Amino acid sequence: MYGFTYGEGITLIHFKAQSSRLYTAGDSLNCRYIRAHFKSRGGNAAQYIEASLGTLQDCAEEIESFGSAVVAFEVEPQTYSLCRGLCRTLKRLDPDIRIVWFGEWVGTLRDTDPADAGADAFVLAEPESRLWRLSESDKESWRSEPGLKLAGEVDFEDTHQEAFSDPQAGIEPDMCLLDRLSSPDAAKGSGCTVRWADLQGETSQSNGLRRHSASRFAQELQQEANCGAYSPMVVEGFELEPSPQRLLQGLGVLEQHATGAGFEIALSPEQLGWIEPERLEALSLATLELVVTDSGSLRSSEVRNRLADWKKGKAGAKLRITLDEKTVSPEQETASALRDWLTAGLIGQGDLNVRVKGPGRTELHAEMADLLSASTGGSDPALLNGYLAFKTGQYPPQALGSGVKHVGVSEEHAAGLAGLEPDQLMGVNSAFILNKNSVCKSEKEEKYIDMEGVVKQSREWYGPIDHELERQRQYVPHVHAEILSADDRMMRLEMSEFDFGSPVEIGLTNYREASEPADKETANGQGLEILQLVQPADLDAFMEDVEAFEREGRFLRGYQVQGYVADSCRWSAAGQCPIKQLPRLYTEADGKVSGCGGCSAIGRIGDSYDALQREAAAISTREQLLRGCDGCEIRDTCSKCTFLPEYMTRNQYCDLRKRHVLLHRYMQVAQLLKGLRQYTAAFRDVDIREIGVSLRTCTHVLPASYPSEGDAWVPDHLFVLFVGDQPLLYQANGGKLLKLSPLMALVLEAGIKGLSEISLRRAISEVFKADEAQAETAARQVGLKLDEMGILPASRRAS
Amino acid sequence: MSTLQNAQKAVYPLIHPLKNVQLGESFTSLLEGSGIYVRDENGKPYIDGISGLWNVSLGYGHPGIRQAILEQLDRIPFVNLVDQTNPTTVKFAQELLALTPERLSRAIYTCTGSESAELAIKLMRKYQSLRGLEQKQNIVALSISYHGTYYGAMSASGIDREISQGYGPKVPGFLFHDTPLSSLGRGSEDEELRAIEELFEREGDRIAGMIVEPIIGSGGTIPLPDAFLRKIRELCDLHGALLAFDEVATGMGRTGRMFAFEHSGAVPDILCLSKGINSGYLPLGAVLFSEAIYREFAAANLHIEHLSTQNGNPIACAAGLATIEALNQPGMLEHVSEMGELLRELLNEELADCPAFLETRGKGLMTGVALQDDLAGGVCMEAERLSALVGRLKQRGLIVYPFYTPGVTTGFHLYPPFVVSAQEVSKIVGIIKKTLGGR
Repeated sequence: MYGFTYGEGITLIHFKAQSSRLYTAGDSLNCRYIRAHFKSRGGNAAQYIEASLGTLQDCAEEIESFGSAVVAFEVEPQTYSLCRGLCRTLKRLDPDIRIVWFGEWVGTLRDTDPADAGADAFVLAEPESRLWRLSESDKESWRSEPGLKLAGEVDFEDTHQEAFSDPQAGIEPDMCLLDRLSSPDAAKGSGCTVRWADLQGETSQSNGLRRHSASRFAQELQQEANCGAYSPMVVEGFELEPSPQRLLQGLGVLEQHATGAGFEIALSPEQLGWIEPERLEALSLATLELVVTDSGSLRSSEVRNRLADWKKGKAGAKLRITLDEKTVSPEQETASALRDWLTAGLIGQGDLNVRVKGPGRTELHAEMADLLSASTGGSDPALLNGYLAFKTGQYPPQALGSGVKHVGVSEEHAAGLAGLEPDQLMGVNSAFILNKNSVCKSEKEEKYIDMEGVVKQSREWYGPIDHELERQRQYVPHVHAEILSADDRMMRLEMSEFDFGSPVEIGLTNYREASEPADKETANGQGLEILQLVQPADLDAFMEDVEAFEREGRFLRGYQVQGYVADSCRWSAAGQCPIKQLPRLYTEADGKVSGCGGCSAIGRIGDSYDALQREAAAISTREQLLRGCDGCEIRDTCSKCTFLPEYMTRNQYCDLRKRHVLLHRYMQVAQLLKGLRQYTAAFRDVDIREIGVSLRTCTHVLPASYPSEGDAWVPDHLFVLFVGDQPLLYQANGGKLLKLSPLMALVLEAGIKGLSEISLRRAISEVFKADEAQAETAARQVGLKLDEMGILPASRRAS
Repeated sequence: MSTLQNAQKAVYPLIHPLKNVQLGESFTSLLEGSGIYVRDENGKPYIDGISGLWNVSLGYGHPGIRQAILEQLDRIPFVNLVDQTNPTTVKFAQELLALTPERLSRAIYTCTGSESAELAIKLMRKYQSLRGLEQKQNIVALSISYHGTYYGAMSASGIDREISQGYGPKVPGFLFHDTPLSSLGRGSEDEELRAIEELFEREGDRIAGMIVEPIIGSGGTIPLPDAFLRKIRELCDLHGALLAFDEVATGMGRTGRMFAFEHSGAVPDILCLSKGINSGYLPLGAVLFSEAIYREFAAANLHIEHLSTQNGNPIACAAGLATIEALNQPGMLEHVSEMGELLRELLNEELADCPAFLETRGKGLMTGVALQDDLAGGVCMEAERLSALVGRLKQRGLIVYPFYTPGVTTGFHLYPPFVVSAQEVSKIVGIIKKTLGGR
């Protein structure tokens, strides 16, 4: 046979943290270099790409299916724990698979035993050539390979000193070039990044520095620019350059390859002094990152003035400061210097980063911790969204079907979490949600920063759980805690050990108690609020709001939009019940596990994901058969919740849903307005009561005297909204918001009510005082316009 | 084309067959193949458990086929068969006919399986017309048959009657007969034979012919009973109708015999081929037919009204010759039978405790893995669940193709290349067990 041999070469893995410990498996510049190196030698380096990661077991099984004898993980501080967890799982699955770690940060793990991470070796230098040789040799011969730390090896330096002083390997430090790599293939997902230098070289004399030649650097810049750079092109490694001449040469290449979106480069304060102010200003820089390894430079007026001048001359350019573990140590001085930079407007709150070398941990004093925490913006939106999905049961489709995302745990079950076997059960991007009924003891203000480069806080509830999971060798990226206030009306959400600055406070309100707004402020709601339906009176209050919405075509109270109805999946549209994909679980008393809080169990702790999923699906299917959902008149709009709370029977649920056929629309519009108020200026400051929604039961331009005539010919993904008198159209399938004329709004409202052409023309005549011919022309023209704009195909219109 | 005009064009321009038009970049991009494996653009290998689309029967990178293609490419890449001929094209027709019984004596090339079915339909009707039997226009097809997507082939496909709604008017004159499902434990063979007899008794004088897949493919890999196949041969003879076997999927060694009809001994008047005809390396199909049909056209001094420019392309035929050579190698078809048996045996053994597993079916390396609804106890698995399962198999490195025939059967097809080894069969079973067996 021609072609490749199954299992040849290696498999590369690079996880990228899209948010705090929320990962995808994608590409990286280092991986591109390695793939190019293999390709140029006729070999194969496969890249594990996965946007929606399942459980560790799923990931390991997929990686195993690549068939490569060697699996190479590019490990970074933010992905260390995940990589370690996955390596252990992979080794359990296939003890013969050879796992190596590589990457610049791995070079700092010389004192760590690879075996502790489930790896066979750490590649400390020259990953491209080293991995090539490892893939070509058996494990026995790895011992003779320089620049490799093997599992179980105690003293790395001593063992390989000779190899490092090898003149063939070392050569002249400054001559250690990246150039010997062939052109990387155009890769996806790695962004526009080019590299001047890195620290993955072989020679210890130069700290492993290796760099491109000017011509090679120019070639890579050109190659990336040809791919179409719409965001700033990141240039890595200028801050590593020890030679002024070389740096200026590199910057010269940048000058020749200026892109519209500009560059993002990093420099040290010392390097700034090597560059003429005019030259720095002339560079097409979108972002300049100042890498500070000596806190004294932050206090240097020369550096500050220099950058202030630069910023003044570069409208829109951004300055960022990156510290290391040493510079955050004398915090008091560093913090006050940074405050000065902030006050002077040289940097913003989010422009501070910390890069920590090695796996150590640095304690922080309050002021520095506050400064660094504030740079994260007070929360992590992705983690918060995940938490809200857990509370509402409404998960985005891409989050479903790849393991459990959240497991709700009460305080008394916290000790046995490892028994759930999270590696097998929970997705890589998942969390335990610990419900603390007791008021928390006062926390010690011990804040620190570790290799993840973000501020963390020692928390009494987190430590033991984390320790137990680690002891059982189970990986779960997050353990959040809902800490209830004494009156049970407020909850503080603590996200693992992360300190994002101001704590996330969430109001807990029983729906019946949601108060009548007294003024505009309360009408629009304040902060995060979860509305709970815990007894029939809550349900009654909720239905009253739904009825008013159906009647008025608007929300009358701010909490209806601002708040999050717990388990709102129950009241949502068809297909919105996620139970069959089992994204959330709750541990209950006696080791039982349920798929929805407060509902019947679907299994026990220790049951597999498949078993739990099968049971949930079986119960759900049986229940729907009993109810006759398939033949029900609202089957296309009802989420068919089959796990009901104690206060509601099957008949009551079906009855409610049939009585309120627009309930699903109510939930959709509430969700839509949440998003629009968050992201759209037109909705942000508007009183919620001033926003109208066109429904079959209530139209705003079309007179109420026109009853529904047939099925709607406007599809469900179109929402006709009104801000004051201004009609707007939101297209949910494309996320577009358009202004409408009153005539267009009337036509669409007619479509929502399924009016015939004759009735539509009559309505146009009546509302716009037009004669029959004018109304016909107007209806035709609007129809053509909606068709032309791709909003409503003419064919959907009733004839 | 100006830059502006280009900018207005779709980012992903390709519409994939039988898939929602909005799907595009989500498709896995395969770059290379070798033996039973394919590899995507990220370098991830997969076992191609369905030989491309049931066509790459000898696997990827077959040296003989590659060489034959290269040599023919260097000689001449195209010959207009309307006015000229070519030794490779003629030789392949001879070799194809040499594989079949005497009844089949002539060949016409097509490009695809759909086109072969299309031509078979035309031949059946024209044949009756030439005999002066204008009333014999109806063609019997089975209720869950699949013959293709061209108008005639689509109209003859029982399985797609709902999906193809709205494309009408379709070609008229098809009688859909209930597919014999006694092999699935539904009804008896006797009943099935009686039912088809009754149809011919009732409609025989208006039936031009019958088109049948000896093993129902897309409908769920359901082998038709030998007795049924022999019965329709007998009924067609009795009623002056033609029998066409659509062996686009089953032909060219897939079932462990060169053609599936060999298992029953019922020889058709028309044999539709494509897919494995040249191991799927280039588009090619053929229709082999009987001397009786030829004679009717000859007597009328007529041509057969059928042409596509690329039919019988010499490079595609060269690949076909190399394919026949490989299939004729001693032990090749026995290997297909053995591997197929092993595959089904291991699957039955390993999946016995899996609640979703129902059964395996098939012949040679044409296997259907039937799955049931283990949740509500129905005979068919939910479409969403089946789709998720197929996705998980792919994630674990095995490409299969689902079948979903509501009310009849659901599951997935496993038609691996003939070059699959016992070790690879075991690996395929391992992946399926891991995925289906749950944790």
